[in-house]
Amino acid sequence: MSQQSAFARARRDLTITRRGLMTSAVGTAGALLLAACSSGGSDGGSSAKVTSGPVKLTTAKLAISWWGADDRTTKTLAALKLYTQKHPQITFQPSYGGIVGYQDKMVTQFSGGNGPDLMQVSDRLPFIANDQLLDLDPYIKAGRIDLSGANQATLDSQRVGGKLYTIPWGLSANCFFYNKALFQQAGVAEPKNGWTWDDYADTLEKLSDGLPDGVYPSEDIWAPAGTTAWQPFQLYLFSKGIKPYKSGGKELNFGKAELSEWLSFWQGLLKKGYLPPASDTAEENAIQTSPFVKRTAALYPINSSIATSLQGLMKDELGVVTLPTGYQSKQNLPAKEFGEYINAPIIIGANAKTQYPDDVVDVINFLITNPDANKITLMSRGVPLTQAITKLVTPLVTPIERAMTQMIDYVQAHATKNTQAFPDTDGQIGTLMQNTSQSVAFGKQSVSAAVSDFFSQAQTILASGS
Amino acid sequence: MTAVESEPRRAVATAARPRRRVRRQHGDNLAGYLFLIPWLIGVVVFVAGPTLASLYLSFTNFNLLSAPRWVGLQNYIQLFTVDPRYLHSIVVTVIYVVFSVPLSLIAALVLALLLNAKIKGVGIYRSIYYVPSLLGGSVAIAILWRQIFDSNGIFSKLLQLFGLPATSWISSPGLAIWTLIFLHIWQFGSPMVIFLAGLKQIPAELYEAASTEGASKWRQLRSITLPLLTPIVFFNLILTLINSFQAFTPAYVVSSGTGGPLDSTLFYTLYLYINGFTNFRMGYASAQGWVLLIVVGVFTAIAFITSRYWVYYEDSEKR
Repeated sequence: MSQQSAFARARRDLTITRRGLMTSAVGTAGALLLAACSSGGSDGGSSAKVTSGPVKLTTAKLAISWWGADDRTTKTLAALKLYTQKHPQITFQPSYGGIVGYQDKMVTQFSGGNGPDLMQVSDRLPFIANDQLLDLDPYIKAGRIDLSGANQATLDSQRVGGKLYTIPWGLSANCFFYNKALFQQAGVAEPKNGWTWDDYADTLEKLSDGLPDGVYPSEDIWAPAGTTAWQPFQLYLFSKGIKPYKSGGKELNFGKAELSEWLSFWQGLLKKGYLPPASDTAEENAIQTSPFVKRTAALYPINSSIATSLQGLMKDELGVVTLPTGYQSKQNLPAKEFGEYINAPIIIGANAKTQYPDDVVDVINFLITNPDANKITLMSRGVPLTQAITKLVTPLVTPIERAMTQMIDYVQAHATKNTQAFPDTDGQIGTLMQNTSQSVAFGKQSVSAAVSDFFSQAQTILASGS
Repeated sequence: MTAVESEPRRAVATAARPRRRVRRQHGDNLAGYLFLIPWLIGVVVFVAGPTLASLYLSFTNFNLLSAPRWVGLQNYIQLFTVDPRYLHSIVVTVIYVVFSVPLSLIAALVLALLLNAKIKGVGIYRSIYYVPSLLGGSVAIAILWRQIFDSNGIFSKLLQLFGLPATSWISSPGLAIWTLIFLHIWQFGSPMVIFLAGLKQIPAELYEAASTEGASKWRQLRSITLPLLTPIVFFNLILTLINSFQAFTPAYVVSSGTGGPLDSTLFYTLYLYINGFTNFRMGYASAQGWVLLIVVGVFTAIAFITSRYWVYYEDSEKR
């Protein structure tokens, strides 16, 4: 009824003229423009004299942000509540959610001068390059953040220009998770930390014989929700003693030979049917849709911090091992050393412009080093930074988290010192590497064509960097 | 007598009436502008301001966190000379526009013709067919689309019934764009409603005359309906065209923000977003925004220029 009258009204109003059309079209087109906001100048973090000894905390409400699944959020909220119980003058304004769009949100908030007092980040570089983060070194020297018992190499990998702006909030590394039930079903021995690319290829061959049709031995290295293609390749370069970049990030430091060798290795495995077809891999847009979780692949290259969530999605018991290395590998991707290191994609940093630096530093110290806080948060962000805390919480965690701890121990003991701070264009090179790997996997390009495209496009990207 | 007496009074009345109407019109205008103020503030602060800011930013190097640095035309030059991904995003977008615009207009017109029939409960049908366009732009539907078109999805199952192999349409570089085109076509609702309104406006006498002359339904469609509907076709064309150039959400959701697989769903606006908010090259992204504005402007202008040859306006019969 009202439907009828609405149509009737529309009919009456619909006397279209040329001018009317013109105005509405122009108006619509104008509305699509990108909105952007400009930022004020930044003063940079001033490193005033920091005193040691007990500090009187100011009354404050601190804004804190992080991303993560429900489990991590619940535990973090509980730890913050504990802090407020111990220091009633300090309360929190937490903000949390999924990882998608998190970094964009942080950058946008800082751009508008509204960054939180402290936050979890994955990539500190854009903030550091623009003086947005508090230099934590003076506070560490004054003993206000107690990092004794933390692996020095891991901490040093966080330094930019010699300064420590961020601290790993849980340790993690690239690794392979594997499905113990599928290994058992195929009658194949489980892999061990420090295994080589030769071992990996052998394991895949054996799994391929033992697994039923439609179940592949491993996911491809560019699995979209996994490590994606660029990080494992960088570790491979490190193991060969090659840093990915030179000239301050303006040029690539590796040659076509290394990239060809890498891509050919993966193409070979795919052709033998050890990896799912490219379109199956491309279908993955989150761990939930990965062949590994769908139980059509037995191995999954991904960052270890996902352990708890990944196990939570599956009935089969999972195991975890280091990413294979070229060290002592004879046929596949041979290299000089182990190559892997703690990549710490979950780090904590503070806003250089916070009004309450003393409070913020105390909260960081609490979250990283307080036993009671860590008994609550456990391994929801990976393995704790210091040995004492790790020892304390290990009896309280699940089997997969214990396996993750062993894996991290192995990596810390063998970690390469050959790492490098990445340029701000590293993310774009990562996307390019991802497309290059897909292009070969989908059979759109030969390895040699894909490699030469990679090098010419990488050059353009790096030249555009600051 | 009375007639003579009343004469001047009527004169006064007629003289006064227009003046009063003018004053009331001014009052109406004032009220109108007052009602417009919230919208005007919104346009100035949230559209015009940022638009001008983005014009300035398009000539700068701006990473959101530090102050923008003037680089002149460099962003524009880079777009067209050294960025293969940008050129690729144009190809993807053009394919999308070229197929989705005419196909969605045809779908809307066909359904409007069907729903114009005088049958019982036609209002309900119209409402039902309008529903997809209320849902279509949303994130939920884009997620549903992933489910329908992946290798275990309904669509793949349907093809298997006919003996075709199971394929994931969403994750095959050659096919993914078609699922997005299909999603666009499925949102025929609003052009359909506008077509319907246009159909209702065509005088019934024309059809009566045509049938008495013995014209077939097909002939009536070709010689009466379509010519008289051309202004509406034109209006829908412009709206759909602009709309398609700006398509973002489905590609963003279906490809998880990457434009994949293999950049096959890298829409123009998606690449713009990636540059602005993933690569933090806001100046470069602004330049992309302005190129898009110009391109959409050119296409709209082309539509307007050609319209004089195929759009028939009842108010300009002399041509």
